[in-house]
Amino acid sequence: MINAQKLDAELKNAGIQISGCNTNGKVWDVGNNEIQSRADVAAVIAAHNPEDTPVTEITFSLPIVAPDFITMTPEINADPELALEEAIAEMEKGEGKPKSIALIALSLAKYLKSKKDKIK
Amino acid sequence: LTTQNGIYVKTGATTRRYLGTFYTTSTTTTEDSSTKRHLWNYYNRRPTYAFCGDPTNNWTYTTATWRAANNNTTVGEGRVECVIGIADKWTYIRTHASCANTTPAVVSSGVGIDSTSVNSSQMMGQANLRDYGVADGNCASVLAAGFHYLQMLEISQAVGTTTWYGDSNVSYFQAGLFAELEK
Repeated sequence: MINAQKLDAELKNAGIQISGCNTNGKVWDVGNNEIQSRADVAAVIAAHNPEDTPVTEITFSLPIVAPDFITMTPEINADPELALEEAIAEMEKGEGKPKSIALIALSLAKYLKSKKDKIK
Repeated sequence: LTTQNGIYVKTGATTRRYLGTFYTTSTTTTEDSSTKRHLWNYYNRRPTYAFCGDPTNNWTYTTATWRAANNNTTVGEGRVECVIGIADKWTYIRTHASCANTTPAVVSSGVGIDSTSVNSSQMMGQANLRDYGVADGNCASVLAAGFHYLQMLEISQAVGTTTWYGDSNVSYFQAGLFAELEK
């Protein structure tokens, strides 16, 4: 049994120039000639394990604590009311969707500052 | 062939009316099947089709050069055969391919008319393939009189690794080539 995608990578990692291979065990050189019987190719096929390399999955039982940093400051709406709307929209994005905490925090800060200035 | 009073007849024996053409698979045999349409009538033609599908689970090919899909030129798997008596109708040929690449790539399947390296599809391909996609090919051609093979082709931008699926090892998926013909 051949895992074509994995074998393709294994052959290329072995320095063998190929145009592809299939699950029947055929391997083609760049001119599309069959080369599965060639000694170096046959050796890679013989060592081939069709099982995909397992991906390690880790489940964190505690919250992940990261340093407080912002890699790119998002552009905040100049209008405090619209900035608030954008913060709410960002906050209410569906479960599992990526949210910009920076956009929420900075937009909210802009809105609160405008209210503070008004009170003064 | 020649014509007499607008009727196709045999050159040099004009009492013989042309009825059709067939292509032999051996000295005494011809064939009309879904992979070998070797029989063609001039009169009372009926619509028919030819189909081939690769039974290979999947394969890789990531080269920006047209080639036979899965490098497979077997009749019934990578190609179909047909014979045309008189070149007077459009033939429509479609290919269906499903493929994957973890890097965005432009890929396509195509139709080779008597060729494993020249694509004749006018409309084809999948741009920005990411993960899984469909890369069909569509071809319209007036096939010349005589024998032809219609070959499924493939091509992929040379980025990442493109995996192509034949039957994906299930009964409810099949890549292949389909031609609308007459007989």
